[in-house]
Amino acid sequence: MANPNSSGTAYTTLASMVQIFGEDEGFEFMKGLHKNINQYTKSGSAPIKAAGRGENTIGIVFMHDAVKQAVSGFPIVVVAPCEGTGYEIGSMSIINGARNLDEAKMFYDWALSADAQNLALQVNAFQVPSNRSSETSPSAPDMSQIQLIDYDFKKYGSSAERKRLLQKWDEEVSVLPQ
Amino acid sequence: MILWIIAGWVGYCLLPWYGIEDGFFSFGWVFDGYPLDSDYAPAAFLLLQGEKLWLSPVLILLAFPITLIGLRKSDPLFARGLILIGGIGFFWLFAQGFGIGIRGYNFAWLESLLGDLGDRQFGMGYGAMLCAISFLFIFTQGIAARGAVGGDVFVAGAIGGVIAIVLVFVGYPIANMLFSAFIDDGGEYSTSVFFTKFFDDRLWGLACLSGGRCGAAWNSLFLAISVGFTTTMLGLAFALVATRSRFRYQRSLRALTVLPIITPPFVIGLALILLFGRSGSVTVFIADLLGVQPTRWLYGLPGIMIAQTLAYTPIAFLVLIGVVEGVSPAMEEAAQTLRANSSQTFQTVSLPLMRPGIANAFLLGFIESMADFGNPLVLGGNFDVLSTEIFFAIVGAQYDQGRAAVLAIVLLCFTLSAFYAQRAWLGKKNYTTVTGKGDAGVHPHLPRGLSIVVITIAVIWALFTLIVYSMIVYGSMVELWGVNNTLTFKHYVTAFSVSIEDSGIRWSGAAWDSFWTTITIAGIAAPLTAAVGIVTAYLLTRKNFAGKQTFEFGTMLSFAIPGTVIGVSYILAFNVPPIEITGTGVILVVSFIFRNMPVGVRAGIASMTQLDRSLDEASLTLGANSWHTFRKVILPLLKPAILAALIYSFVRAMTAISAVIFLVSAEYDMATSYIIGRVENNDYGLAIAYSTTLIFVMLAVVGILQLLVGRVQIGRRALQGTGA
Repeated sequence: MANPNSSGTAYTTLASMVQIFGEDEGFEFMKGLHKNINQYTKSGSAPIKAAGRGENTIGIVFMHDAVKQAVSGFPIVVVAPCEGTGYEIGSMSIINGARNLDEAKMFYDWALSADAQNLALQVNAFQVPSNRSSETSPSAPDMSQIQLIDYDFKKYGSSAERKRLLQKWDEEVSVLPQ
Repeated sequence: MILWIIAGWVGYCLLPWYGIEDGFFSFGWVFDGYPLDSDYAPAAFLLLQGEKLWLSPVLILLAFPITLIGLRKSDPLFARGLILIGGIGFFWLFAQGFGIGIRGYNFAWLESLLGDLGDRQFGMGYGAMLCAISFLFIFTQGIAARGAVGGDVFVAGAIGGVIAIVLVFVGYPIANMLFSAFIDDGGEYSTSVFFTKFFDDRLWGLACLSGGRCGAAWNSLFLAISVGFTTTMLGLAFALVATRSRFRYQRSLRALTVLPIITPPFVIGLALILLFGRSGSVTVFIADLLGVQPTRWLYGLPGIMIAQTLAYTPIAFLVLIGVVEGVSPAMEEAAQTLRANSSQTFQTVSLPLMRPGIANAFLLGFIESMADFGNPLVLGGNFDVLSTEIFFAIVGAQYDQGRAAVLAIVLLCFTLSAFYAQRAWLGKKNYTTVTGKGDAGVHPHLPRGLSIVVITIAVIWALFTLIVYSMIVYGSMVELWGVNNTLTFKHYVTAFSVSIEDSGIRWSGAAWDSFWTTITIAGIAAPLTAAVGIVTAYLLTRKNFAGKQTFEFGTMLSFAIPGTVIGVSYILAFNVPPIEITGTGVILVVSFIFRNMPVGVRAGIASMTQLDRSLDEASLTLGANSWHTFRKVILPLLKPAILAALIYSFVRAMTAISAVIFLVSAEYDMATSYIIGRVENNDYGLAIAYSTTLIFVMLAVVGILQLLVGRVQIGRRALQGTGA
């Protein structure tokens, strides 16, 4: 998997484990996992690319990254953990004092429309779209087969909690022998 | 002087004062309400309509110098007036720019002092720029009139110009970012935050001596020293083979050394993984042969070192070849006449004379390795280096700008120490070999023993390069590299298909857009880079002025900072007025100029230290001014340095990724960021096909440049039959 210090993907993994198992057991799990990791990559999607080229066996990544590898023809099988899994939602922001506020709002409305999100099909994006009436790629993860946890975005998205978890991971997990 | 006053007036009364969102050169603004629409109006028209009244002092300042035109240049009033007007005008332009932004006053104390402004302004445009330039040169003319730098208007202007642009485009964004090293989580200044982050164990830990992992700072330092050393040695070997051996394939060797420099960095990384990775073809072959388990030895120090040595040897070569060629044969012949044998001559005369080149090559290798981002990213494994740590401190889950700034400071300390060590090593010795005196002679060949060693190294390295590159070309022509090796041309077709229709040629391939943008931007940036670099080198080697050391330091600064830091600091600094250029083509050109200028400066300095001052003096005594001397005497002798700067900046503009990836926009997408995007989408075939095409395009461009600029002709006799 990637290094949670550098990759939001890996941080989501860490935060999910803490939420699923509770903090102590979650970190025990990360310590056990640590022994099996040959490289904490910088980028979140790098582990699955390495797996695609046979450089390692398993990559822990966001599912759409894995799907992309599989669709491109690399020997990758995409699975979600049956105990439940965390997730993230993509977002947009408008800057305060923006010069073209009206155009920005128009873009917002467009990006949230079903038509705009249907474009994902053409550009090989395998995320599940946020607009329910847009079409989901047939290769994208099937949400009915995946058990999602109730991810606490407010708590685990806050920078204080993130700093604390990352520091703990740095001090307790990353220093262990591999 | 009159010229600059007119320029100021044109900027104030004719050109649009503020930046135009659709781009100045689309000229849509000419028909869209110019000159009255306040988005497009020149400052004079804004004032007439009662808007932006804080621009009115500029008008008064522009009017003043007209009254000075009649005065004699030696009149102290003339000089003092120009300095005052220029200085105040320049200062006022920037003060108002920083003081008033898109939300009115930028500082709370201004607002409490003057009340709510009720107006706002966007980034400065060409009108404001021309005014600023005009004030700057009025100022430097004043300085020159007071007798500084020998009263030389050209030199004063050049120094002022270089200082101003370096301050604006290097000093300002970097200072802006480094300040954040002292800001804690609450947004307050504090030095303790800096020290906790500075003495972090992840930076300075020495656990690797006892089997653990070392801090990123030590890793970077060790890597940079080894890469600087190997690239310099290899570069020297190549330069010697190319100029002083009986080796037959000198020309093809030369071409080969240029290859790695024109390759997008991650492509080499990818090729190395497919050759030497855990399941790479070479690794598997050898593992089968010896019956051992294949390992991941490539990831970490060895991988980065190989990739960086591949990538930066050509830079060392380009710097060294100019110097090796420039060493005067007369000195070597003198040694031989005094009965020194060829190895004595080489050791005591040729090699010491090459020291400026060797030192410069090492410095460049060291800094490049420190700042490199692509290779550690692909091949780093668990080997952390500063440049990637900086990137992920900012874009990663930590989002710790302060840590990034601290890491950047450490990195800067290293590169600057290297810079000073280099100067100490060169010392105050004289390396001048090209003088005005007759300089006919032939370089002696290398001593036999050395020549065999050097040729062997060069050939082995050349073969290795060849293998890596044939892998890349091969990779662009297979269905899915590493998985399905059926040969196909489909990637080239997707990228570069062209169809001929009624309306003319349609560039229907996916890559054309970014391809043309890249060529245009690289084409604009390269000559500008070379010009700024060579002028700076001229000032540094030929002119004495107060603060020269600081000046040199400033011009090298942008090179010592990794592209990622430059990229981030640029979007932070230039996303808001007064200089609002994020998302334009301008920011790309500017970032290339200041990223690559130091190479021009280094190459220029290295060649210029070999040119005897008596040449300039002769020209000056004969009545030519500095500008004339520079153009007619120095420039023609600097052709190799100019060529190096041109090639380097063009090529870097086409292959750079670290800064670019922050600065591209939908309209101005560069080839490298497009390729990275393809790699992220698993389109390896297309990515490599595109890279291969770029390699060939750049080869052609390098060839054309070489023809255009031509070779320097130092009147030396040629060796019979073989050519010099």
